[in-house]
Amino acid sequence: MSDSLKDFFAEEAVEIFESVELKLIEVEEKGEFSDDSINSLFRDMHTLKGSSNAVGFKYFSEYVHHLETFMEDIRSSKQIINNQVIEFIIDASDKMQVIFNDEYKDVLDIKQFEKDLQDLEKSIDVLKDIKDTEIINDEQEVAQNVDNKEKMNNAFVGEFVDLMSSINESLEIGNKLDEYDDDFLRELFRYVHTLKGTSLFMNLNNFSNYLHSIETLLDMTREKEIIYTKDINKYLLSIMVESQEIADSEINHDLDMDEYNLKLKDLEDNIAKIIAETKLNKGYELFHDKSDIDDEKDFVLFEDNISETKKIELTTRPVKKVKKEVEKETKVAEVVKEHTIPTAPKQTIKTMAASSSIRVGLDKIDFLMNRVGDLVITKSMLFEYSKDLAKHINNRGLVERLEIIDREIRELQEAVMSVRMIPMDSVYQKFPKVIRDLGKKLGKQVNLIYEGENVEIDKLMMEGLMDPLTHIIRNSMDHGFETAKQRLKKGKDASGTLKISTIQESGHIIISIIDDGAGIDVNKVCQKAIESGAITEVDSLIMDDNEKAMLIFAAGLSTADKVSDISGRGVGMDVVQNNIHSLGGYIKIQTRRNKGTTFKIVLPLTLAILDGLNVEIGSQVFIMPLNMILESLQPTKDMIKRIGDEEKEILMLRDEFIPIIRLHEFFSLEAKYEKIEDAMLIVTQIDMNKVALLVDNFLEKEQIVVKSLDKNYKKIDGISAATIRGNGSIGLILDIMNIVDIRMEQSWN
Amino acid sequence: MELIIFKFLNAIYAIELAKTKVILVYKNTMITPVAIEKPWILGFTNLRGEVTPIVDLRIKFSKNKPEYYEDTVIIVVKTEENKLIGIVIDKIKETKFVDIDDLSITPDMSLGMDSKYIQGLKKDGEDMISILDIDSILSIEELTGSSE
Repeated sequence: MSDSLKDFFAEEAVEIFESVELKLIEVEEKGEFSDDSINSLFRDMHTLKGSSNAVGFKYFSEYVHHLETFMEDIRSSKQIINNQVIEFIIDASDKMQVIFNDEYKDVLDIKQFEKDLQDLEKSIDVLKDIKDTEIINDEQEVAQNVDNKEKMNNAFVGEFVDLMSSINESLEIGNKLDEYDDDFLRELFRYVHTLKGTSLFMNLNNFSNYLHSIETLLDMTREKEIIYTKDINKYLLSIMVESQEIADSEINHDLDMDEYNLKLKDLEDNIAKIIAETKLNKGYELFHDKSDIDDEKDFVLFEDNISETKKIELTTRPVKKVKKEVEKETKVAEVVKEHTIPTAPKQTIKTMAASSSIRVGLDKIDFLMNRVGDLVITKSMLFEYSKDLAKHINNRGLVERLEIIDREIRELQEAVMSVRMIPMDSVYQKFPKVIRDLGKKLGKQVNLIYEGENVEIDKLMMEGLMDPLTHIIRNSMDHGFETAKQRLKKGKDASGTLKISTIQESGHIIISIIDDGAGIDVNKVCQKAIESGAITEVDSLIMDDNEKAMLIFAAGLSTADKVSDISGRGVGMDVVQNNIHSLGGYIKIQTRRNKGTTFKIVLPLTLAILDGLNVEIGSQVFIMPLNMILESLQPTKDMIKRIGDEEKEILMLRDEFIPIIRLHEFFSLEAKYEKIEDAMLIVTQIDMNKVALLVDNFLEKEQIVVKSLDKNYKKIDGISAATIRGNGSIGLILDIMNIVDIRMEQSWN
Repeated sequence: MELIIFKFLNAIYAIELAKTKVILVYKNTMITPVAIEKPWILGFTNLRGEVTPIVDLRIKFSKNKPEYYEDTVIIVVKTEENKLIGIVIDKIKETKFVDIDDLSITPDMSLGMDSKYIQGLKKDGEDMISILDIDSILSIEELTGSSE
């Protein structure tokens, strides 16, 4: 089996694992399985088994098969559910992921696998013997069921719509055919059969009943008990509209049962008539052929049909109606349209599916992004050209049209960018599991709350963010939260609360991770930092608590007296900060002893395109990201103060003293102006500190497409990335945070 | 193996043609300098939307100040790290097929540059052609200077 298929499945599998985990955690919290979660877990297992087997995951599929069977027992209430069972499923699905990963990487230990499989079987056997200790209150269960029906299971909607359109398509094709081969009939039957199953999952019981009649008819054609004719095909096509209506109204819980029963009866009558007609023509012969064999089934059917035929003689009206409908099929469609349009605000299955998504490879989106990026560059080339042109001729008309292009390209760009955006929800999904596992291990109770799951974030950014976030959360679990006992002693709730919230604010995404744990022991951190030489004792005297807390990001620092396998090795927190810096963001800490700690991560909205200000430094022009600029000014002489050896310059701005970094010196370039008061200063803020950057001149503002330097080269100190300018040359984007970091280090040494 | 043979550092050198992507004329190439990097890293140019570094190995391997003439060109190569990097050379001579079995192993003595940068030697009439090992010359360790 080809690897690409395996990869494709792997992607799907990871998604399913996530959804399984999420559901299991929900189940664990509630301590019971709802019908919804049993059904969807069963389906997940079923899909995993089927797909994995199809692409060649032999062992994995076998393992999942056992789980699926177990879930089936739960579903059919053969298996009693208690905490032990839930725990078992959680553990087994963990194991399942391990096996999957191993088999995917071709490193599966077969002996180990066989042992795992035996263990699984043994556990299942043990669980099967559990006697019902908790008798479920029937009333409660009914109430729960009703509640579950309220929650429509969106997961099936896409499948539902697909199947509906497949059926319609097949029937349309059927209208053009004169003969129907076995493949056609089998396919049609399969669609209807699956659709029936899906609608049961969606709790569309009435609709499913309706389909059942159609399915019976198709089953008979499939089994050659009756002959599938064009008339049948036409009839089925005509009732598809009706069945769609039934499904739509059942989803909205406003299915008129009287009307439905009438429709169902109509359908059953018509089908009976079709069966009878075909039987009378062909079936009779069939019966004769088989007369030697004592086919009870045929016989019963035949008998049935006789009584049905009588019925039809009495009620010829619906048959006529059907014929009319077929003849005026288009008209019917129109009428139906008219009928449904006034009720448009109601949810139909189609509108629900419209909100679901399609799967597109990231590479395709990246390609699109790059093309738009090129367009932005070409646009700036045009602008440049038009500027040159203005020296010779009047080109107002051109400029005006260029402005329109500019606006349109911006809109296009935003649209393409939005494709790459994914809701924070998908980031949050991973954390309940982390918290559950760690909580168990450490014996701490922590509730997770999250907010802003709809805030969207660049997919690329999200990838870079997963590690830092997981690390911060692990750290909070390990060091931040106290045990239940300690918490009670302090007068807090026994279980801690970890809140993650994401907001979008003035061109930034701000993610806060707030715990109500013990807070960071800043003095201990400070002590360690002094010991490790990250700061001096003098430094520590002027730092406030939050600044001291920031020291946990210094490399090689760990406040844990013991190294646990969760955190405490001192690697990690510095990686957190580095990762966030490399995303163009920064992190802040606020901590209060015994009250808790807040980590605040501030990120740019996107990585790919930014607004920049061209600044002249010596003979070169660099790009300064606009979002880094707090203010810019031309200083006067008395604003510049010097300290000690006269080398350190300080800008006195209003009441603040801000250190100055001469960017020429940083980049070893000759400054245009020797005196600071001739040049320009840009004030920027990093973490809590302001810094003033000295440049020679400001030039124009420009929108730029960020291109990585790593791809063909490597990271350069003080430069975050490159871009292509209007004239086709390369422009370099300043990495302010990096510059400040490097300068700080230099001044400390 | 097909070679692109050129004049460089007062001698004859070559690069595997298969590793060569584009040849640019130096004087028509816009290079944005980065003074903070090693002196032999001239800067970056835009090669069809790719930010491509340009290096002048003559600065790395010779004490003489390099000269740039009308026929000074940049050979853009693709390294095994999949990086596109341009190398400034004095003058292209020709391209030529050579038999790989025919290559002499580089003697472990000074050839103007460390022998680890030379893939092999080839006799060509009266001349000796040194085939550059661009993957070694332009490895990330060389670029960051961590090998020095």
